[in-house]
Formats: sequence, C-alpha cells, structure tokens
Amino acid sequence: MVFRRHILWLVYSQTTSTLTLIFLRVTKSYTENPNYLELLRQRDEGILTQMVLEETPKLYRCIARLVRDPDEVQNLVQETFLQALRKVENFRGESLFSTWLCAIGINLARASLRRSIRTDLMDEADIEVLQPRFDEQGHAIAEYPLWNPERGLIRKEQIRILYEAIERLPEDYRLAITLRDLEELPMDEVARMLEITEGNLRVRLHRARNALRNLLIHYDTNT
Amino acid sequence: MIQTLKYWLGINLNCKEAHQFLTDYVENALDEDLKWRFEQHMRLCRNCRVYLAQYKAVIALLHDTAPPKPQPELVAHTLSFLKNELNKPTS
Repeated sequence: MVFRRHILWLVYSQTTSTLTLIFLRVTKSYTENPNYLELLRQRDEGILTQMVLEETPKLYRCIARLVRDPDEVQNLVQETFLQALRKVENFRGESLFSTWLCAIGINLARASLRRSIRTDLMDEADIEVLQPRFDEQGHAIAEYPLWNPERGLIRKEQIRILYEAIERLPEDYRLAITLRDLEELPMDEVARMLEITEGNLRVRLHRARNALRNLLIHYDTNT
Repeated sequence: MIQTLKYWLGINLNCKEAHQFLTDYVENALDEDLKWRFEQHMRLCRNCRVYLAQYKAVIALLHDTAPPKPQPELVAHTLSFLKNELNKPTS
C-alpha cells in the first residue's frame, strides 16, 4: 500500500502467527527537496515531520553524549528544533543542515552543563600533567608502561572508566572527543560545529586522547 | 651528508616531534614524506611504538561505545511540542 510518501507493509509470520506492520520511508532526505528551507519557514507540517524523524537520532546522540540526564536531553532536543525553526533564515547553507542543527544542540547542551555545578572537572593544568614528557633532545623521559587494553580490565569496565574520564575533561576537550571519537563525525563537520579550525581540533583531540590514555592506564595498572 | 643519512634512517624526527604528529597520523592527515619519516621513527623507536599502539587502543575503545538511542516516543513528543510552541502568539 503506498501511503503518501511511505510504503506500508503487512507481513504475516507463519512460525509465530503474528501480523507485523512495517512502515518504510521511501522518499529521499527532506533536504533533497529544493524548497525545504522555504517549506520549513512556512512551518509545512510534512517537511517538519520529516525533519524531526530524520534528525532526531543524530541530534539525540550528540546531546546525550554530553548531558547525562535523559529528561534534560529530551528537553534540549525539542528546544533545538524550536530554535532552528525560529531562526531558519540564518542558515546560509555553508554546512549540512544536520550539522547546523547539531551545532545549535551542542550550544544548548553547553549552556545546560554550565548550569550544573561539578567540582571534579579537570582544568588545563590537569590536562598538561597527563601529557607525555620529553627531555631537551626530544626523547621521551620515561619508558611507557606496557599496557594491553585487551588483557586488563574487562572492556565494559574500561568503557565505564572512559566515560567518567570524559565527563571530567574540560568542555573544549570533551566536545572534541565526543563528536570525533564517540560520534565518529568527520573532522571538517566537527570543526564547523565547534567553530574552530581543523588544526585546532586536532590539537584538542591529541591532548584529550593523551589524557584519556594516561587516566585509563593509571586506573588499569592500579586495580 | 649526515642530514641525508639521518633522513633515510628516519632519525631526523625525535620522539617529541613524532609525538606531535600522532593525531595527524591516525587521522591520515600527514603528507607522504612526513608519513614516511613518522613510520620510520616508529620502526626504530620501541617506546614510541608502544605509545602509538596505546593511543590507537584508546581511540578503538572510544569507537566501541554504544550510541545512546532516543526513546521511541521522542519524535511524537517533539512534534506535539513544536506544534504548541509555534502556534503560540509571539510577544
């Protein structure tokens, strides 16, 4: 059955005697509609629904990686769509629409994080301490411990520790790691979201990864 | 002569310099010449090899984390929220 822009499938399973309803979207992305920005400006219900359907998973992931409270994440997702619709004329097409949406979401998440007071956040000096040290000739001062992540703590426990460590990183580092290494978004997209150069992003990633490695090894070899 | 020899042996890049290129290396952003020098340093320096392996392991672990998924009702809630908010008279 073709229902507007969707195909509705009715599948009957003989083994379980159940009738399953499958609702498949067959249209291209809403952004492939040449008039999608104008339609969003006009609050066209069809395009608005398509946008929310398509963008919610990515937007949710970006925000939920930063803000842990699920209710707050839900509020921020909704607020992001609202802000985007209210200022859609500000979108100049210099990035993907989804990148622009995530950038709004990240800014809202940042503001939310600033409202929640944490006392155990690291600062730039803490990050510096976690970087490797070199002598005047540029040689490493100490031998790196032989750490094999496959053999230490179980993976689930390592991931839990990583999450705790990421939450303690200064905001700029946390955002870089979250978007590039957790969300695996392309470098240029992350740089655009954070409004920094790719070179600057690489520096942040480098320092954050060094810090995480150090924290993880320290924890792994002390348990 | 010494510089050329150092270049071919990959020892014109010390540990500190090689370390600065770690992110560019794993992000595949090094030009061919620098990539060769970096890899040559890694071949000759066990300590930096250890560090590179650990650095990559941390990234692999980060990639391994399960992405948070929205509750199924979030889309419907969002659409209803937007409808209410957008229909409110603007002050």
